[in-house]
Amino acid sequence: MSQESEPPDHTPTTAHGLERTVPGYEDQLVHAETVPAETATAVDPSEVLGSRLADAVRESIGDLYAHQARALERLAAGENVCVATSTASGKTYVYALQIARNHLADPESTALLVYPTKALSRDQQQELDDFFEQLGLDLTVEVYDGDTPSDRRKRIRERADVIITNFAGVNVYLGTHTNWRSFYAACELLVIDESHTYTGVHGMHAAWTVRRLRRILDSYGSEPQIVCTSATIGNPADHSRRLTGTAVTVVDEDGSPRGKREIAFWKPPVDDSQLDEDATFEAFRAAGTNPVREASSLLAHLGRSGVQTLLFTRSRKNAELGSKYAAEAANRHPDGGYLAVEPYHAGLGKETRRGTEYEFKTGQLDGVTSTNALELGIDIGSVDATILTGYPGTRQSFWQQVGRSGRGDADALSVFVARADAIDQFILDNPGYVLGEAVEDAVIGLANNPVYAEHVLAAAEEAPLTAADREYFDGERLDRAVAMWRDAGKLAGDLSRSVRYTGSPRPQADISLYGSSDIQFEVTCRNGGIDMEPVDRERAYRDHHEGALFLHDGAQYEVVEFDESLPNPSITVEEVRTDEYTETISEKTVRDLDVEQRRDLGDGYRLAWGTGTVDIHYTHYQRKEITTGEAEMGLQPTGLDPIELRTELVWVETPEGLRGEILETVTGEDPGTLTEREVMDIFGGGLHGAEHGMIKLTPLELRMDKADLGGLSTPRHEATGCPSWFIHDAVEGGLGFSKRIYDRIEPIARRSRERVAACDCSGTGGCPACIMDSQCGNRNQFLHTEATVEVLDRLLQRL
Amino acid sequence: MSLGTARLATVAAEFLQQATATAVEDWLAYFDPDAVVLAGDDPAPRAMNTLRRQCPPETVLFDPAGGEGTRGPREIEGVQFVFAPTHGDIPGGEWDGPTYVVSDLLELSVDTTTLTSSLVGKDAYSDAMAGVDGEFVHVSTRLPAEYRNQWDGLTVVGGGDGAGAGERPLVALECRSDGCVLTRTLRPDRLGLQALDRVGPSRARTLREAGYRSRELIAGADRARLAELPGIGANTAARIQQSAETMSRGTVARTGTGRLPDGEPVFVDIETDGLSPTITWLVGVLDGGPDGRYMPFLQTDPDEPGRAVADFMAWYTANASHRPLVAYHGWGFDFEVLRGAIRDHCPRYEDAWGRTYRFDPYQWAVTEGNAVLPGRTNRLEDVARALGYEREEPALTGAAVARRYRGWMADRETEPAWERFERYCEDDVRALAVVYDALEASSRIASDDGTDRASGTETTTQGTLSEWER
Repeated sequence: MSQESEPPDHTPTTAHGLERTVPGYEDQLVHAETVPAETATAVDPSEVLGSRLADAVRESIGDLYAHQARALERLAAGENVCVATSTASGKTYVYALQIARNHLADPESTALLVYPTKALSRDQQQELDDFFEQLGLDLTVEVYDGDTPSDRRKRIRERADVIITNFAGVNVYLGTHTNWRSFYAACELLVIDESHTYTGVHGMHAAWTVRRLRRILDSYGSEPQIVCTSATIGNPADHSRRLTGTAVTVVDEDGSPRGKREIAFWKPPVDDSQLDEDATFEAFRAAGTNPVREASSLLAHLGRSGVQTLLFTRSRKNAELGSKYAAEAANRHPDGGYLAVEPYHAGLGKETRRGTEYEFKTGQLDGVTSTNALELGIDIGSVDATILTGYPGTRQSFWQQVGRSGRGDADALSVFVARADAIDQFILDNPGYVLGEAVEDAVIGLANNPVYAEHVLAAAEEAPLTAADREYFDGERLDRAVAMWRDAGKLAGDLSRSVRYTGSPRPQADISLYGSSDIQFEVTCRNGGIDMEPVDRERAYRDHHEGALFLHDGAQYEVVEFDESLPNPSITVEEVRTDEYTETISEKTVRDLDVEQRRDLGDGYRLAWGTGTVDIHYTHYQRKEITTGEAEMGLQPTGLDPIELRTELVWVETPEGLRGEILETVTGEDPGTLTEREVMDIFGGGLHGAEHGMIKLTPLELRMDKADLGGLSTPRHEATGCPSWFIHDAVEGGLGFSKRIYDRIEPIARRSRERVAACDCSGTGGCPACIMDSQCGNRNQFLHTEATVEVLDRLLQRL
Repeated sequence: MSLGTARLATVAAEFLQQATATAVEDWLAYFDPDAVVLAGDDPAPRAMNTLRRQCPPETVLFDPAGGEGTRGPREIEGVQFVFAPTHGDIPGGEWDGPTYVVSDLLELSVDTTTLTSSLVGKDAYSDAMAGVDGEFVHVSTRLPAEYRNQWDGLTVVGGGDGAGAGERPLVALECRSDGCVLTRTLRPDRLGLQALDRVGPSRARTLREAGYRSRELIAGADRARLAELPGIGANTAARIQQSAETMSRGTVARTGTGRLPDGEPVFVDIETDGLSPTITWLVGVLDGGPDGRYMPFLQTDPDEPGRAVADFMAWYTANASHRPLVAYHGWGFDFEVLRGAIRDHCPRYEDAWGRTYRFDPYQWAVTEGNAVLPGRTNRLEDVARALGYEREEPALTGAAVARRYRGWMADRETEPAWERFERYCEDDVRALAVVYDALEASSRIASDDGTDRASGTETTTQGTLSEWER
């Protein structure tokens, strides 16, 4: 929008418009989808609110949307509510109005709001303050967290009506809960915002902290209602229940309005005519058109055509590169000329970011290339189009990025540019995956014992444990935890009377909300700052050994020092900008299996889930160039000892005869004539590929990072005695993910099979888009696509 | 028969290797052990040599890992011990009276993944104990200090795993001939020159290298010369020397301008069931200075929590409500606990409590920097002892007292010796009065006109409350 006052003709704001107008079009458009507009389902406030409040609401925000009204209605009926609708659907008003209602009924009532970050806390405080003022209510809303000055804290606790904090705070403040007595005793509402973000290890800690909080609130005579606000997830009722420990009613029919939208699924051209059959992971990467370049060209094209566009990238570096490429592309564009485009990410200074936000909003910029920092919250007005470089990891993020485009009732356009990655390619093949109704589940694994035990200890310090606490702490498991801690000298007594804490003061301070072991490495940056939670030993060994390169928050870091000395182990990093990544080689074994659940699928096929010990030894690493795969130096030792991980696993056992079957089917020859190397390549490759495929595609089922899982495959395992492959949770004590795979094995195996079969990489070694995995400890050796499909087929037949 | 007490100090070889001679001297002087036991995985002959050089000749030395030093049965100060480097040394036959078996054969393993704790080495140990008759307490140097438990009939006590290594405290066990063990600890980083104010490891090194190898030398040094040393300015030199003088002379030195409260203090000390208390069962009150009247408000029935506190408040509000309440570490413990107990059990006194003027000499002196206290540590008993106070009773520890009361709460079988605890508490509260007097004496010397001391309104002390809050 830099020069013209009106957009020119043939503005490419539809998928087909792009097809027609993109210079040098090479059939990149794989699919086009039109999402029709939706009007709001409005409800008059007086239907759910008292007249005084209803009038005030009508004047300030107008009608309520259907889901807001329904949520308020359920709350009035005394239920707990989870509002699981998309962003910008006004979820905040649900709890703001409930607070208002409570206040009018009882001016002494208080509310506790828990937000995921401190930044969000302060933004929301402002919004709520403004809203209550508009409603004519005298309510004090205060933030109380690590940044709150100590001389204000007592006053806030005693005076505020609404306190906003985060889970780290809730955990610590429970240690001095007597100071919160008056606030807690009057608490009628507990709000957990962005509740879908509580999964994995962090989710476990949040869930137990909520239980400890509710227990203490109960001791002060308070039983607040709970409101969870969540993005759309597959299992809101189950997730909310696990998070809070109590029943929650889900409200998910979104009544907010949507404009019409087009989504284009775009595949950058690949030139694999030059690739060998046994091409490496890196060679594949190099052959594909860099998706950032492709996306930037699109940005240039749209920008030059007067379509203000926001481009999302996966890293800060790409955000900056994207901006550069876009400017270059604009120069080469037939329309020729200047493109006003700026990068945006959290590493840029505040002033710079504010400036970019302003310029974009006022139409001075044609485009912005950004990390997910601009996914939500920040006001940049509306854009005409958004471009996504690669799948952002979850459907919710996908829709959030897509949803940023749309101005009034004009057409909104989003382009999904796929990377050479299994999930991205899967989505190109199956756009229905992101367009359909189903969304990933958010999983909280409450069975993890190390995390549980920490919270039981903290709870005992907060108030002695009694038999009644079995309700909060998973029944008889509490007895076992108490027995353990008593034997360890940290608790005394028994549940029939009372169990008191006898350890050192403030056990709450020992709980790290992101870790599951008691050995946590602090991460500090030598040449700048890094905002990173302490890292568990398992992750530290895997991703942050000395010499490792890793990405965090869109920036790249190198580990320069790795210090394991207790009691404060630490990792020192330096921020770097390289074109390299590190590949770590590991040896892994699985032993001491304890089967908890098993399905006999017949014919010697079995599916099992249970616990076991995984020994992992990260022995060497190597730095390689991202595009060419070349290594400057040889393998470097990591200097690490093996790690022993006691965790949960799901595994598939197959009959002995599978070996012969696969070899014969794939080679067409008598298996007896094949060399050992060929057997390993093909049969081993089939099992290995099945393992990789399933790990890589599980994120389509669950909200998780594939780094949360690890795997192992072998033609003969000591414990199972047969060809098997294992997938395990990568954290001590388990995460609940492998269990989910066990429960959802069929869709996961099927998706993996489809992806591998449909992949158009040549040869049988696979590619990053199907079975090659950047985290493979074996450098992606012994992978065979055909064998993988055969193996998975046989499994699927019996599921 | 009188009670025999033998003191056993445990120490890691690492501490002996790294500590200066003065630090080792301090450690030995503080605990004055009858026996020293090495806590480590490997035999440590060099550490044993150091001990032989530095300990008085009659000290019993034992290295469970190396088997050096003493071995087998031994009586020390009327207490029976068996020093057992191997299972074979574990006593056989019949034994009279409580006997302490000292070894490194038992270790604690806590597995949070399976929610189980186990005593590693228990089976072999139990086998070795089979058929042995008598009352035993098993001390293992691989168990953490303050650890106590019963495992299949074995009474097990922690000897202090890695005592003195890294940040772990040095440990001494007072083993009594009645089978009771008291555990005392000492921070390894506050010994030798580092016991002085403002002196950490690097300043200690600077001072030593400049020839000031002992606290006495520093006490007598020229302040200006101290100030010339790298990393030490005039103010710091003054503080360091003042601290050295205080330690050698055994007096309080004023370093700040804070005022003591008006009015005659009421000294108070509480006994609870632990550091995270659920019951305050003894409120010991001293009225009238170190030789004044002691009044224990005791609560023997755990089912009537709040009795002691209510009785105390009844007395206080009727007799002394305008006098300041003084408790050592009051702001870290006693005042908070009392406030909670009043709120929970006798809320009619909440207002009165809110109006009391509360004073904590530890916070005033150490945290607020108004005075340097004599004594090797800032613990009440050490400060009082340095000021010349001698306890009546052989001392107990707060932990032991709490433990005993917890045992009473759990089974209500053997009633504790209440009088003993009352006297222990009395000792503490008289010690507190001695310390307070010393603070007063030092204030009189320091203040200009000796009049108009702060009348101590609530807010003066409350202003620092935020330090104690989260």
